[in-house]
Amino acid sequence: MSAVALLGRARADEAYITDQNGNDVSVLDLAAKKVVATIKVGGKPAGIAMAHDGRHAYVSSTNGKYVSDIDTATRAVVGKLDLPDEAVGIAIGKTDRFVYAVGFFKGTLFKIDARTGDGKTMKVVATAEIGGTPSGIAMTPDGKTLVITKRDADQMALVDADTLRVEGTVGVGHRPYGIIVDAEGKRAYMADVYGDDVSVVDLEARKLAGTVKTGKRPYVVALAAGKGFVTDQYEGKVAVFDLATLQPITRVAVGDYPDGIEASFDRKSIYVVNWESNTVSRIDTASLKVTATMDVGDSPRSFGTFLRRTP
Amino acid sequence: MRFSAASMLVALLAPALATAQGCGPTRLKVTESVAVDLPPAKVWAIVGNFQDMSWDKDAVATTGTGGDEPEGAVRTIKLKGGAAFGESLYKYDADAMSYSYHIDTVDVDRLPVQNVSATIEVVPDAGGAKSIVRWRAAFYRYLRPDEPAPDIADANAKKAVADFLRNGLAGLKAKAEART
Repeated sequence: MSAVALLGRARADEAYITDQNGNDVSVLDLAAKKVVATIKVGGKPAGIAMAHDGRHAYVSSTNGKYVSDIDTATRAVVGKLDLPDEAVGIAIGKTDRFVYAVGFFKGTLFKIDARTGDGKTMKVVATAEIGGTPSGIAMTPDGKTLVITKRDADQMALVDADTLRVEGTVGVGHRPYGIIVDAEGKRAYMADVYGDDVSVVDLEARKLAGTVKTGKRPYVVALAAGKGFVTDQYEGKVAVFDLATLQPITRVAVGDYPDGIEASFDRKSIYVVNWESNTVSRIDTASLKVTATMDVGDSPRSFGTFLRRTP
Repeated sequence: MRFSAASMLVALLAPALATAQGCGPTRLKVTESVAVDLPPAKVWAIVGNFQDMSWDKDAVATTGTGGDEPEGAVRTIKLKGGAAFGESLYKYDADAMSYSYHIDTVDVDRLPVQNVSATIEVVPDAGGAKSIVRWRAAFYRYLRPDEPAPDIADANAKKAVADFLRNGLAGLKAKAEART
């Protein structure tokens, strides 16, 4: 393959930013550092789950009570599924076939088949009652277990991704919200919004393994380069801590009211979505410095997995 | 004790609807601004003291401690009608003529909101001869079991906050311009 052909095919990774008050999704080109497309979604979009193959992004609209299926090649909404409750937390299954959403008010977990019928119609194929205002949801790397934060119960639930059977609950900190599982599948980290800390759960033992102090009103956690990164909403900072020792390292100033956060695929960068400033900050995971600030749409959140590796 | 049929029905429905506590899932933004016919420094002299909200006609008393120290200063504002807000300062920049605070305790009957953070700032206008004062707030609506559809409930919360900010700024303009 000639060098010219290789260059012609290279495309930057993208970030799909859910602009909640803007009622749209901004497609942020991470090399050009600007929005290259805006997709109308409606219904106050907040949560997002990016397929592992990068071909689809599933967005939860809170007020509208629906999930939208975005085709990332055409950058168009190709499907919409109405739900009986407002869902914020949404996660993708290991095979990209199933999408899992949790209803905020009624507490139901919805297992959605994204490939029914003509391959474009989403359908709820199973539900489970979780309760306690389920908010954050993440999948273990082996695709077998969902971990869900129950915000008003101060608990984390473990749910079998296949049967939706609730396998157990673990008592965690106060008002747990965003949750993530490490690459080894050993621990879950969740931000305790009113506890101003992160609860760390050992998934095999199903017990609290530790707690890390953060700034005020932590929201979501990202993991990279042996470190945890937490958005401190009230302080406009990202709290950084060591994953081995669970000790705080430093705080990095970003935009106002940081919300969603995710590590890049090469683990060299952290992307932080600043809800109040309408920007996305990039932090270098080695130097812990902000290396870019990019403008996006109105009231961006990207609660979930929002980075897309372009093929 | 007598119970009407209607109140019995509300009592039965309320637990089913109010499973989530506190705030709705959509954080909302409101910004109000006013033009004032004074240079920024003069406007900041009126509005820049965190412990003094007397420029807002809705505020009947402000009591607090900590001056203008971020992460230290707190104040309680008593409003006309009896409601009180407890607030704490988290940013103060005299050069930028701006300060930011959280409302830690809010009377939800006065403002149906939760988790409020607000910023007030003075910016120059007309080459520095005049000013624009911007007061913005971010918050979630307060959840009630009997609330209407989410978009309507959010709109109600936004309107209540916008009215509060706008009335306050109208008072500031009147007070500032009355001096000249």
